[in-house]
Amino acid sequence: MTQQAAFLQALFEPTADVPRGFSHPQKERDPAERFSIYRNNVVVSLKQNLADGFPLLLALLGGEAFDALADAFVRAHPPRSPLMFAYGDALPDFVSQFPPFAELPYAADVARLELAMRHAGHARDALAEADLQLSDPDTQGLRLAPCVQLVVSDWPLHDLWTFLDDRTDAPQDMSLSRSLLVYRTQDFDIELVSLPAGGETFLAALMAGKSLSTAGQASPDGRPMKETDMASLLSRLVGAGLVTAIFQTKPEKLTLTEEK
Amino acid sequence: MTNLPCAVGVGFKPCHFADLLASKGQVGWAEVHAENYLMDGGSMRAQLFELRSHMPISLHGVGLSLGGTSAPDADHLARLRRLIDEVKPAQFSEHLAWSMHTANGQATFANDLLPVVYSQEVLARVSANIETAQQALGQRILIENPSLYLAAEGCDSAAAETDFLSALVAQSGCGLLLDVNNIFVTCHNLGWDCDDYLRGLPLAAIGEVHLAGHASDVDASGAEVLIDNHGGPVAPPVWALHQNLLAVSGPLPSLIEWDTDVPEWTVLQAECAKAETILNRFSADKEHPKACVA
Repeated sequence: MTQQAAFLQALFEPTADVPRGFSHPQKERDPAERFSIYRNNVVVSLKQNLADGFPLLLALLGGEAFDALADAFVRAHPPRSPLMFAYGDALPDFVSQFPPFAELPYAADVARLELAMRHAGHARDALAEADLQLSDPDTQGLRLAPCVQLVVSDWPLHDLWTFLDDRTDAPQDMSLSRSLLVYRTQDFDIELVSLPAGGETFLAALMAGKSLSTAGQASPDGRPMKETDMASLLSRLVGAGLVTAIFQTKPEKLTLTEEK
Repeated sequence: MTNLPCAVGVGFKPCHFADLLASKGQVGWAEVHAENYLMDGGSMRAQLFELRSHMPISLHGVGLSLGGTSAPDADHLARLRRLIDEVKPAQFSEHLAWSMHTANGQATFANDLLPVVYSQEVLARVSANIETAQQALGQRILIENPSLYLAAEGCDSAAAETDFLSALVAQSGCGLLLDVNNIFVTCHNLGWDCDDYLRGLPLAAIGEVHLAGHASDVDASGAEVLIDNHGGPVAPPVWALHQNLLAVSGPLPSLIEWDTDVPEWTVLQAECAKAETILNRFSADKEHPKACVA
């Protein structure tokens, strides 16, 4: 093992010896104690990064439980790149499998919501084309801005977010599944919109490049989106500048032929 | 040695944006951590481009791991180059440290500036890494001295580090970003002499100075350990060291860094005013009639 590999390993192991090659020039000082400063800096900074990046999860779990989660996470999933604003992509899945939180099955979705808010905030800037003309919903799709995020959830995420962010009333009915549309406004605010029944399937189909008609018919759960709900959602997307272009979809049959 | 104005700069925090723009006369430039601005879009980048239209920017990298065993990551260099082309900073700087290690094809980033062994072998590698970075970024870069809590075996005086820095400058052609607080912290923690440190420096290579606060702790043997936390005002002995440096180097662009427990703007402004007083003292020096030596 190289000297730096040993140093790195010792940073994440609380009882590891001082890595070889390093010491303290003064005999009376304990090198292990000085090495622990590096170990502490690394672990504390990574945990702080998670606390800064997942404030709602922190509010949900409380400081002590969040610290235990973060401590386990930074050891299991240390950063793989220097882009620390992106650290924690693996946290929601880690939360869902973290035994202490079995009683909080919505905790992972709160973390997913925070990741979606982050992705919306960091997405590429994109302006809508001046002239959006939809002439044939059967063959045309909507290109959505890169900041548009869909958070599919079995929990009332919008109510949970309001509760955790503003400390307002706790959600009344936790069985009410409401997925969310998350996006960034032109003023860089992050907006959350609860989707009506069928909304998540519709939005997912639009984001996958389906034509407007195909997206409107997509209802695998047998709950087609109401036309008034669809009109209201489309109006929101266009009004917020999130539909950046109208594009011609590939005919479905041609796609099938190409695959053969 | 630098395109930064010979003035006081400040480590930029988004919460100070409006106040900083209102203090343009007093604060001559701003520094940001390059890695905080490598996302695709959004408010942080928009704010940086706005700031850029008001004052020169210094991009300070914290993720190239130039002291690492392997060459700097090509993708990361390309991302930094794109940011440089967009922001057109007056200066780019990085650290004499490593933070990234790849094993079995998987990289790990430690999010800290870890110490380098001061050997001939490491010198050749770090020097080559700096040359790779300078080539990819299209410019000469400044390298910052670390704050240390341990030293490589045999490094029992300040010369171990200043000789290494001097050789790096000579071999790679880089300049130095001299962090005066780091000098003080390192010398205190390792029992090195600050005056020895200043005497051993290649003064002409210094293009920028950092000033910051540190915290104090006590170890099990009762000895005081200084922690480089950028979480308070610059300590009096660090101001003294800044003066001693400028007395021999002449005036240099000097930055106030305050990264944790970030204070109100007026507190940071008072720190900048102190630095400006020192800078002005040496700018008026007859031996250094030009505004800046760097």
